[in-house]
Amino acid sequence: MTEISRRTFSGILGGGAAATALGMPFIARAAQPKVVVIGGGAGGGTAARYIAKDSKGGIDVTLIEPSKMYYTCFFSNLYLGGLIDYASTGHTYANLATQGVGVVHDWADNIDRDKKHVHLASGAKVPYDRLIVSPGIDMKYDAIPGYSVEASAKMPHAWKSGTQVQLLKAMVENMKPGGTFVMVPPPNPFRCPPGPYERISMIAHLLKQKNPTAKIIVLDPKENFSKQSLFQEGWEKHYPGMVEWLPVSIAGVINMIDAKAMTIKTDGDTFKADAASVVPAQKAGGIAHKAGLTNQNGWCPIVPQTMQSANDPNIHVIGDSCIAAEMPKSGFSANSQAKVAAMAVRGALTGSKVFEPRFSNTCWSLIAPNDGIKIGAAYTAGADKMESTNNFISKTGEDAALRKQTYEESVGWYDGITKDIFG
Amino acid sequence: MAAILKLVWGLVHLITLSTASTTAVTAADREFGEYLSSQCTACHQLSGNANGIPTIVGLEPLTFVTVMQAYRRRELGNEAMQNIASTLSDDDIKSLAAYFASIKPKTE
Repeated sequence: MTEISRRTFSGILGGGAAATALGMPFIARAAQPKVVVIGGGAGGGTAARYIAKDSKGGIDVTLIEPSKMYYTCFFSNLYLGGLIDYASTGHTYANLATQGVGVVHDWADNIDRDKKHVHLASGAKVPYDRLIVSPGIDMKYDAIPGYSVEASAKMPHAWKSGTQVQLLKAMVENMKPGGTFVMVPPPNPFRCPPGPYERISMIAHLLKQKNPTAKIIVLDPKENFSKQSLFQEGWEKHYPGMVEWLPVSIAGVINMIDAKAMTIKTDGDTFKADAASVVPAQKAGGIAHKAGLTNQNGWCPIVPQTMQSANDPNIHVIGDSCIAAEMPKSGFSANSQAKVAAMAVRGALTGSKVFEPRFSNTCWSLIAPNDGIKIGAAYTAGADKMESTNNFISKTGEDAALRKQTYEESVGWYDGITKDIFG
Repeated sequence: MAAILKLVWGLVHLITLSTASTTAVTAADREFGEYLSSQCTACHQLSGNANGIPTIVGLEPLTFVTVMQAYRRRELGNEAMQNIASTLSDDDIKSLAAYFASIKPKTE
């Protein structure tokens, strides 16, 4: 087993990043507290960046992320709608690496909580004084009978971006004229509550251009969903007669998926799809389970004030993996939680000032080109949950100019938050 | 662009009318402002780049305070901004104003 330290990064990183890391005196570094961050998404990227930035070299920060290019889930629906290129949702870690974060492209395989080491798939281990765990979500493939990793190649969940999203787009584009697209949203709680309904909107937009007689059937395991009246008003306005949303009380529970036959059976009916997206129930990313950070529901309980794991005070869990209700699981929430965790970690390791945590979230969604809507809230840390102090949501019947402005704002947000995460 | 012009117009209007002109921001705690600013930087870029969301770096403190108080009173009409402003006290706003005034926009 190899122990990774700053001295070995030159063999792992690109030259520029390694030079930055090695440019600092080793003796000073040896005395530095070590923070390791698992997962380079909206939570992990932000946490690593803010700890490095705000500690001004006082903390040794290592980010462990297997991908060299991170494709954001947020805005992937706009790619499905044909409004943006897939490449525009990709971000590298080059800026983080030059801003004081040691970036290790490897898979965090397990956590030794007693020895405070992260074990990597390569066999190396990385010591930490504080660990930030931000692994996102994993799918509960077996939550829907017949669904599996293999079935997801025929009926993509496309809920972690990447090639699944590209696959889904190709399948929708190749549907026969007048064909049927079936969307199966997940049950609560799940990543990006308005996401399935923005996906429906963007696929409807794509079909309206390329296959206007096609239909979309939504087999929802829920009775209601985020921004429901706004989406349904928008579907009627932009895609009249195309989208049929069926709550579980009408469509019935899904009791079998046959990905080869492209059929979805419910209690009451069998639906034949020409293309489908099936998003199963979700749970915290795998390492959170291996490390014993999850509860019986598969998510990680935390202390809201600091984002520390309820199971281990040396570990902070942020983003979609943690239980941060009333905050939704979103990139914006993860970014907000990361900043609170970063402040708490710096305070614990360097004695820097710690302020009362504040959290916020806004989720923008696009119904059609230039028809943007949003929902958001501010939160404080309660004793055992995030408490919403105030909130807002777009209204039905808003004029086109406001909806266009909301869309343009979302584009600005994407630009802003990706710089806040990836530097 | 229209949104920015609308905001600028709103600023001129509000600065004329506001009683905030007597508000001192010099005593603000810059460190606290920097902490609070992390809520803003999820959208507003520290580089000064503005793309659908206006830049707030390098703003005169009085302008910043006037605008945020107007959002808090719901006199400026962006719900996300009204929402965040309603969580901020006068001291919070002054600290943010001092922090953002101290940041120089970069040209990329």
